[in-house]
Amino acid sequence: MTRALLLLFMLAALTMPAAAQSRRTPARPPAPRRLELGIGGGVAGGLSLGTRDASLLSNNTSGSPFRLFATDSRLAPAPVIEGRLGYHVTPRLMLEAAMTVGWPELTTSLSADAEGAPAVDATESVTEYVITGGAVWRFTGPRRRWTPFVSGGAGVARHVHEDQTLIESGVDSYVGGGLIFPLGSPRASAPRSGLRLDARLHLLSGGVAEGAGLSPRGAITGSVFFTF
Amino acid sequence: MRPLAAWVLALGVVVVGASPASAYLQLSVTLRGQVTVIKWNQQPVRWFSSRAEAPGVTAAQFQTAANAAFGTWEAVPAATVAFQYGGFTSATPSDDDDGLSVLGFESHPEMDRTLAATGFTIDVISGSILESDIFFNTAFDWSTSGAANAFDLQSVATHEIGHFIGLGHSALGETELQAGGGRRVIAAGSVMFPIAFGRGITTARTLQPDDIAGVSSTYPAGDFAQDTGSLLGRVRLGGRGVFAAHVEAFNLRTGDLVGGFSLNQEGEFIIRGLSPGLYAVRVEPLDDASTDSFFDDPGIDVNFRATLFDRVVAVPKGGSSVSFDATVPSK
Repeated sequence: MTRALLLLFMLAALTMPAAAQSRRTPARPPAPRRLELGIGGGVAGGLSLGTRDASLLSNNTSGSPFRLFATDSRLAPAPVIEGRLGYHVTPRLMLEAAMTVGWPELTTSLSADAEGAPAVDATESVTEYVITGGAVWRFTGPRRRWTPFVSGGAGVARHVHEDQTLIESGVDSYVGGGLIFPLGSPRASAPRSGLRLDARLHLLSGGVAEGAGLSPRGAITGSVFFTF
Repeated sequence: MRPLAAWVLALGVVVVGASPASAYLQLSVTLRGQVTVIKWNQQPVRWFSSRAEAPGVTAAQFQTAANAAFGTWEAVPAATVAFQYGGFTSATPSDDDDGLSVLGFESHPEMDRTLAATGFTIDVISGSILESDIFFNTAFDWSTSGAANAFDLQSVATHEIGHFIGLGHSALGETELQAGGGRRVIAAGSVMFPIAFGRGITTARTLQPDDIAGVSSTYPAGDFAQDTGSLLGRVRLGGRGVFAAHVEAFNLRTGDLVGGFSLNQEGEFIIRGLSPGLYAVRVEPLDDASTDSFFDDPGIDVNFRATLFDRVVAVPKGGSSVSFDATVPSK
């Protein structure tokens, strides 16, 4: 934590001379910085993968299901890290590509056994890779502190199961929003660096959620970004 | 001339017998020290229908029901087993080693718990099935239309034809003891469960995932081996292997339930032909009935409790899961 604060302090200090120079030479605005690189982390929310009974056919004319045991599967909330590369089309609009890696645990509760086997939680570790493309729209100009924004996009989710024996792919789409806090002088035409807080709603189709329909879950991340 | 031995194995479906089973189990014999799966090596397999009739079922109705049952197995997309109807014959199912595979009614009043049975003649060098016959016991009432007071001929024929092509019994089922002895089936997850459903019930005409995995593994079509995966591991009790434990693999996405057995003293098992995906695993003893209709070995261990395994197991396409130990508690 101390190291992080020191880094932010240094970034802020580095931006001050540039602000001072801009007061003395107002004639030519600096070239806009169009590329933005961000890295951060956060938490991806859990995901219900549905319930299903292991069933046999009953010995009756309708063949109604006889439950051998019941299952209830879910993906647990998990820490994620993410990296982003953005391109400012305008000061308000940025196109970006992002990659997120998380390590959720898949848990299936097994219960209601027909022969009285004790209920258990069966688990498995999953590594989740999500690569998306999207857009960010800032509501106010880049000189403001705490700039709100909205975002949206879609991409591919890859779920690598324990021991890499099984890899599943799905489609991840999201909408969200958040705040951007520029570091350095508020009068700079565009921040050299800043902080970004994201809250997103993801909809996963396929992958580990195959058969569970369109599965929603939330994610909250924080990141530091640099513009070039 | 090939060295042949007439080796006859009779497997039947019973009404209230003491017959447990193994979820999809390929019939096998030990030939020259090697465990060999028995199967038809030449196809299509030609079969004949006897002219015998039973009360309420003509020879023509019998042939139609049997043909539909053969068609059920033949229709499995991932399997290549094929049949050809050879016509009516005066031969009977009891005429062993006559070169004809015959299905038909026979009277066996002494077999008061056996609805039907299948026998084989095999080549003891290759394990290839040379002839297989099925009799349906006229000591029971039969129907081809689902009549409430009779056993469904097509359902029982579907089970017996599973034996005919080399499948053993399945243990995917639950039974209860009856007051007069024997067991009554409560539910089954496979056509190959050894105890038949009750009179008037026709649901066993349709194959279950366990049956489909069994026939597809025995007669794989196309890229079956590359498109499916295997689940493997060991069943352990107090640090030792458990022989003949029944292992059930449940696909969490599709709901398919397929079983297998630990088949050696280390408790090792492998269930082939599974759709790739995530599986919950359940292990149970063969204690729904007597065990001798599946294993001759007296060392079957049933002294443990049904157990739900505490891991989700990933089965890959064209490969095997990571091997795991499923530890079961003693009774």
